[in-house]
Amino acid sequence: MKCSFPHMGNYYIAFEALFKTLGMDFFPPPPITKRTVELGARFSPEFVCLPFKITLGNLIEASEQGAEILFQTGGRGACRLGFYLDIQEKILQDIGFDVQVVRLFDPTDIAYNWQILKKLNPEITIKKIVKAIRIALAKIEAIDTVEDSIRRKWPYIMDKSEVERLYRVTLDKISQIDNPGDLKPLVKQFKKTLSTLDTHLNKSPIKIGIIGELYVVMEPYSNFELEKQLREMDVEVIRPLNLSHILKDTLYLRLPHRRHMRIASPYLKFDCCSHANDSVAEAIVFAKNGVDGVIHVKPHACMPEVTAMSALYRVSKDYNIPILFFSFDEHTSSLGVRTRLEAFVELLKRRKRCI
Amino acid sequence: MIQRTKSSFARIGIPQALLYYKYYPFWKTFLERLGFQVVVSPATNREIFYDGINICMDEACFPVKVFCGHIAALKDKADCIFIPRIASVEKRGFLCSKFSGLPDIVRNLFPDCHVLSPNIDLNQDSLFKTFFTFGLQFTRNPIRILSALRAAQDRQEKFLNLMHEKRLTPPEAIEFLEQGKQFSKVFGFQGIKIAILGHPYNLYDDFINLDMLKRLKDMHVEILTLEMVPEKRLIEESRPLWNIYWTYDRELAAAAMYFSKQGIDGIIFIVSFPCGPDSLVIDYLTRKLGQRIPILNLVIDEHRGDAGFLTRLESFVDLIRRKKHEV
Repeated sequence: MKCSFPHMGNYYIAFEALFKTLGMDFFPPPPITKRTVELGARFSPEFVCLPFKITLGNLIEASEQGAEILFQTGGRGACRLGFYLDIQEKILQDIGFDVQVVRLFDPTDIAYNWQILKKLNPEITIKKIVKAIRIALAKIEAIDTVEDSIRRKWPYIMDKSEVERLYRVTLDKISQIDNPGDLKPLVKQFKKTLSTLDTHLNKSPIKIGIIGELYVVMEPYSNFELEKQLREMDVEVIRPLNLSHILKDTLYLRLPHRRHMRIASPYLKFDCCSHANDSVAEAIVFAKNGVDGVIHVKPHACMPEVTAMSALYRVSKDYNIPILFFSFDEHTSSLGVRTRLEAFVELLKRRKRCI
Repeated sequence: MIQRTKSSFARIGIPQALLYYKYYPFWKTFLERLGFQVVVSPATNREIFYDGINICMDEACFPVKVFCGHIAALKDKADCIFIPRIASVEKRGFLCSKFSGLPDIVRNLFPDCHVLSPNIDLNQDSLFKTFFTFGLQFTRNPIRILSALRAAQDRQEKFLNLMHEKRLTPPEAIEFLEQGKQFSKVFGFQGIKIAILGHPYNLYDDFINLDMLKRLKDMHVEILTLEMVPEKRLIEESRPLWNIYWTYDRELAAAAMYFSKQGIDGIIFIVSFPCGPDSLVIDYLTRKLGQRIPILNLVIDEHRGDAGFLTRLESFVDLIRRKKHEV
């Protein structure tokens, strides 16, 4: 039985490794295009959030190519994500696809997970599962380390096209590696090569921190390739939010999240669900560490992030740090996004000259 | 720290919005027994409505904006505002994340407002423990807190019984409890029966739902609501819907399933824009029930289009009536 899983940035490389090691007939959905979003939006409920629409588009396109089991994330909790799979399954079946949408991992129902794995690969063993998780986690960490290094160093390096080439080559290599042990040396080599490239010594670029809702931060198509646009304006982008961070948070008993709650506590006394407190805490940390501006991104009407916004207005005032708010849905105009970004970067440059 | 002198009671404000429609009798009784003078904001009106829209975040859902309008109306009339933070009202269940963030939203939008917010999260602590700890901030006498809790629970039970047995809506039940106002209800109606399902703060706030209930009554429709479903049946219908983890939405879904089996003529879902949980659950229910029974999804928002709203309501009722007469 063929299976698939929605896109999120470059992580399909890690998911491919995960499912192939588990011995499943996995293929990633076609890359996200205008058609994906249009399909997803057409069949989605009226005012649902953008991640639902795009992931539904992914699942529809995967079903068109023959996938029968579709995986989806999300667990029980206040945010809508946990309910995606129930209704996405209904929608796909109503369209006419004979598919099942399954939670990728449900810590409260491990027996169910095991059943599904057995169905997809009758020869599955615990050993294979451990191996699959190991390689997936290693690849996720490798992808995040590579992308983070590029973000940090980008404005300083002179030959931008060389960086792009190096990035593409490294991603290709990551996707081809089968042994998790080979990834660390590869990343080390990448960092070394990056540091040998010529740099501007006396540059002081604008630093912008990105915070907000997980999916829209991590999936470039949904945020109109915000980071790429900022890079073109020679900005140093700081983005603490990535999949490694989220997985570590879960593994370390949510201690990073609790730390964020403490930092945000003057503005948010309680846990406002999902990443609301984390967004506010990250903004405060940015302000304290001399970042020039913050961009907050979210899907239209994202419940927890709207709560975070009420606190962010005050953080912006109290710490004297400009925050630009973006709200994405399928009707957002790319030209509008570009204009606002350019204006924001210009504003930050002038502020920096004056201060 | 709110101080209370012997001669003057601190005034505590309860906004007439959101969970007022579910828990007001409990809160009022508890706070009064602790020595507060409870002040309630007026029913939603134009001033509250516009204040709410102007003060609150653009993308917050409509009921939260109305809530902020109520806070604006209340903050000068009370020394502090009572806004419990409610993350869950049952084990392994959740509420919309806005209820978890409500006191913080108000604290950030109204910085000079003193907000008292007990933390109600049945996944962590019992209701008793939460309210008892809350009470200790204002009195050192545990017996007083216990008897306040007892009185509050009794009052809340009376409130629920009034809605179940006498078929009163929450505002009518509150008026009955406070002022003894009687309401006459006609049973055994021979008109068309429509279940109106939605969150109580949308359903029973006549200003924001453009007086929907009265308009339906004027069209000689018998209105059935969630409060009229027998508790045992509600629990029975909830079980297969356990995948819906928002407690209030699961209750609505269970009520929808119950009514769909009672041979009623139609269901109207009233949803405010852009309610997160409802955006998914109502679609889910429409897909499950749409083949069996006529369904109307009414979305209310701050653009108060009277004409369009009324047209849709009248068309729906007309269609049902015609269908019934043809049969």
